[in-house]
Amino acid sequence: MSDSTELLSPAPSSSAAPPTGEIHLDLKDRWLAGFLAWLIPGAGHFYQRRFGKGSLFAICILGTFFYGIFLGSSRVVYASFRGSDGPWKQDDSRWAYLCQAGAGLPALPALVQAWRMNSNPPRTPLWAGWMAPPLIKGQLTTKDWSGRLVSGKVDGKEVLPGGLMLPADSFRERGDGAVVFQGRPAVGPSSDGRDPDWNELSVWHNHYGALYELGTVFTMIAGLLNILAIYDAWGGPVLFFNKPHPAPK
Amino acid sequence: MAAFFLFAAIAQIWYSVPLVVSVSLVYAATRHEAMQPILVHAARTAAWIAGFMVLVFVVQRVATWGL
Repeated sequence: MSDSTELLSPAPSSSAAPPTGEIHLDLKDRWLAGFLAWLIPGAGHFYQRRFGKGSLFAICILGTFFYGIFLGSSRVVYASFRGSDGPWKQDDSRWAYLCQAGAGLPALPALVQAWRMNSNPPRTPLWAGWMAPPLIKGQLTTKDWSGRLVSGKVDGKEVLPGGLMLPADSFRERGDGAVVFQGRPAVGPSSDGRDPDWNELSVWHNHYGALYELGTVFTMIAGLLNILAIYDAWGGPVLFFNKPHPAPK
Repeated sequence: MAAFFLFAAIAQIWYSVPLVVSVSLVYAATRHEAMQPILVHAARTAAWIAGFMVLVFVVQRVATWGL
């Protein structure tokens, strides 16, 4: 019996459709197929030449993921596991990313952005901040990034809607050229009613409202659905049972 | 009919439509290899999900009646 070639038959009773006979399924290198299925939804099935299911998985999973991003912008996907016991003064654990990461490559820019923003010294996020984590209190950032968030412009061109811009007094310059995001100014009353825990994530929620949550849910479900697709690429349909492959005559 | 009124009453419920469609299709696709049984299974799964949503709606409606 070939390790990667299976003869599959439908389960006798629980299938929704009547038995359609035996199907020869060549899973090829199932581990590679599983990895490809994670990297790009549907790619593992394309590798196995299961084009119909590959297309279905790609359209459904990528469609759900990018519709979520359409609803809540790329800000719904970010990687952040920062505890208040670190250099930051707030806890910001984005557990949703554990589900979103199931969608593979489309969610990976978040890791690059998190690494850049949390490195020491901090770096400006790439790709106009696509999937960059929000600034939380006490976080160091670059002058360039803080300038963009305050003015909403790069080289005179608008890159941020007004509702996402941050007040200039939420940043404080340090002597070494870095900039600290301090949230609400530590001393004196806030001019716009910001509470002590205010940070960039507050601005995002205020701007997008329920769409932010919807976008988060869509991208999470896309990542979770891809786990089913990964399993299918690795092991074939779950309600089938494997039979030994007949020896060639 | 109850589902129609549910969708007409709450605009945000429409956001669930693409979700139900993609969840049903992906779930069904992990159970079959050929496209036809996938579509049949997906339609049945979608009906179950919609029915469950209607059930939750009715339960909530009854529980909050008069509030």
